[in-house]
Amino acid sequence: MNVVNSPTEEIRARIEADSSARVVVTLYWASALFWLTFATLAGLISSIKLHSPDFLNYEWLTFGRIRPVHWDTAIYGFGGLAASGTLLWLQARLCQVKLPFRGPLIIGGILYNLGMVLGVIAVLAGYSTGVETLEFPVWAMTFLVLPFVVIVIANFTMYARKKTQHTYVSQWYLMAVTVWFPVLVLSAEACINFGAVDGVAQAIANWWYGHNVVGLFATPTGIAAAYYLIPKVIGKPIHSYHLSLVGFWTNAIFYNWAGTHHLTGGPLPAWTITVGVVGSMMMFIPVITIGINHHMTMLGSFHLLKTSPTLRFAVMGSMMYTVASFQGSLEALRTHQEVTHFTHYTIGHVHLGMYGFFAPLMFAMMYYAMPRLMRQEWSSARLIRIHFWCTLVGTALYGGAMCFAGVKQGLMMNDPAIPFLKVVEFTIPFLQLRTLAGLILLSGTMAFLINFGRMMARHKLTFADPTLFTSERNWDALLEEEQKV
Amino acid sequence: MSDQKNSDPIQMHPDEDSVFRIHTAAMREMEEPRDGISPTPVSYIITCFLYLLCGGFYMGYYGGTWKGDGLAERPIGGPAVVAPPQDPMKLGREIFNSCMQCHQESGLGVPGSYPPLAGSEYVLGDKRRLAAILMNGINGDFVVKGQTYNSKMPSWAMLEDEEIAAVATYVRNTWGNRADTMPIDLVKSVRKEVDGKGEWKSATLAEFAATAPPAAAVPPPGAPKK
Repeated sequence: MNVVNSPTEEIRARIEADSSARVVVTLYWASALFWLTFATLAGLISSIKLHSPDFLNYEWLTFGRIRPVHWDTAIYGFGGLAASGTLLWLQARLCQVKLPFRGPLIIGGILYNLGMVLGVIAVLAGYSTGVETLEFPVWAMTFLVLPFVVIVIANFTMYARKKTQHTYVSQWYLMAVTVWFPVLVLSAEACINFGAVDGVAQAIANWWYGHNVVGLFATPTGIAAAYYLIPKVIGKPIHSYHLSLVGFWTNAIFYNWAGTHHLTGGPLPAWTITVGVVGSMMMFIPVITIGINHHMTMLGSFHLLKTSPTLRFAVMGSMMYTVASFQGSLEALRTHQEVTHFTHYTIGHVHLGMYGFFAPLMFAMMYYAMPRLMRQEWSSARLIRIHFWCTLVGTALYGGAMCFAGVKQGLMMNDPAIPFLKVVEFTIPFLQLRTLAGLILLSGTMAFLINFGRMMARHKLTFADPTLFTSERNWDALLEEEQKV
Repeated sequence: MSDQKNSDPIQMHPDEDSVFRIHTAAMREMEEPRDGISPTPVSYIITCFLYLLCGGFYMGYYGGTWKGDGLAERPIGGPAVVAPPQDPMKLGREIFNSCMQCHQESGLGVPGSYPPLAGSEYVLGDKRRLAAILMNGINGDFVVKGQTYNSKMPSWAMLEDEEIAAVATYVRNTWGNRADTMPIDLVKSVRKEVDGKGEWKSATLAEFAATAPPAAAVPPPGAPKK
């Protein structure tokens, strides 16, 4: 095997990987950002409808249609494309090879976006399957699954051609995702939309899928990104290879069992729920292990958070992984669910996970890789600052308001003396806070979009220094420097 | 995107300087991440195993029957739980919802169509007879408080003994009626007695009331206290 040893060789390999991945990964990430904006808008409309029911009172935008569109565009549009781009770039970088099958991957990306558009139109027009997370009709889902065939093949091809001897921890997660996700989608579609099982078993399959699409697709990609970015930016090795092993395998074993905790209290055989509760509680092991591993790696380098946008987003995501996962594990307990099930608490938790953990890690990935792919620096440090603080404050406000309101709402609903309308009235101010949080998150996304758009629009510009939080660089300075070059 | 021709810069630019100038980011970055080999504390591994044991215990303890129809997380065993007896007036009020269509919420019935229950000698009188009416129903001419009614009352035998006793107690103690409670045992024995006798006529009911109850003597009807 041709092993890359010298620094110059490694740099050449980096440049090769970046150049080959350029068009594909940029396409995936740009469309991911489009769908993120779309999903945020759809979420905002759903949120406003809950406290002002007459807002946008059109058949196509009723709550039952726009909310599934919000979730599906968030998880498949943003999640799927951001994760796929991350997967391809990271694997090319870590294997030190060129990205293969660029043509099919570009066609795949276009097909995927086409599937998203068709799915969104179908759900808005009332052709939803009515199954949570699988609302897109099967014919639209097909467009989403086919590109994964290419992505999976590309991933394994890169691994087969790798020029490094060692398989880094991020690669384990990336390889695992490409095995898990196709199995997940195909089994769930077979069980639910093709009717391989009936009744209660369909509900179990539905939540097995719904939980795992987050846990075995978004989460591993997020963790892979954190495992790559944190040591990369601070220039230190990951704390412990052994902890990485424990974290990976316990995550692989336990996450798959956790899905049925969504059905606690439902008419399921007790053991299925008990297994779900145990699976969720056992997730403490990988979460704490990964948390320790990341924290110990960061120890002594926290001062870099002041300057590096990538590191700040990555550390936020990594820390929120611990917080959101702790919350999620505890949420599975029967006694906890007696209060919080069917309340806003669950919604708060999902957003802490998706927007507190997964999204920041994808942003960190883009902040790190885009300058390398596009061969130019971010145009404005201020826009990155706005993006970061909007993401942090928006997520904290969202999670805080929803979780607090959810607990109170659950306690009120458990008290038969309180009429239901009183409970609804109590939640209204918190629902309004949520709309505010949504607006903050949207502002952050807009700031990122401007920065991203400028990078796509400009010709290549080279700087010796990166755009840090402390940089004075702004749009005018950039134009000035461009004239100098 | 705009310059796909440049996708292989190393071949495009044999001059290394120019290659590296457009890749300052790739040049300045740290080396690819590596794995450290800090050892994992043994105590951590032991804690993880103890925690796994707790999970196994929970799974065994709350696994129910491990069958498809085992809906209870704990196997059901031990002494059967006996539900405390219900307040007959409360239960009776609920059952009475079915009687209201004819006898009305006021208990006054509909003059000329359905007899009243308030102050009715059939309600306040012989409890055995009252239970018999509830059990089999009535069809045909019937005199209540001096008025003749010609209507049909269906059988309520599908109700539980406890429910029939409760609704009887309820009508005996509402709208100014005051009488003692209907014992559940009496309903139970009447149910056996009247089985197969069919709907009462005025005459057959009088005949039934005149015959003595088969076994255990039933105390005489409590006098109406108006």
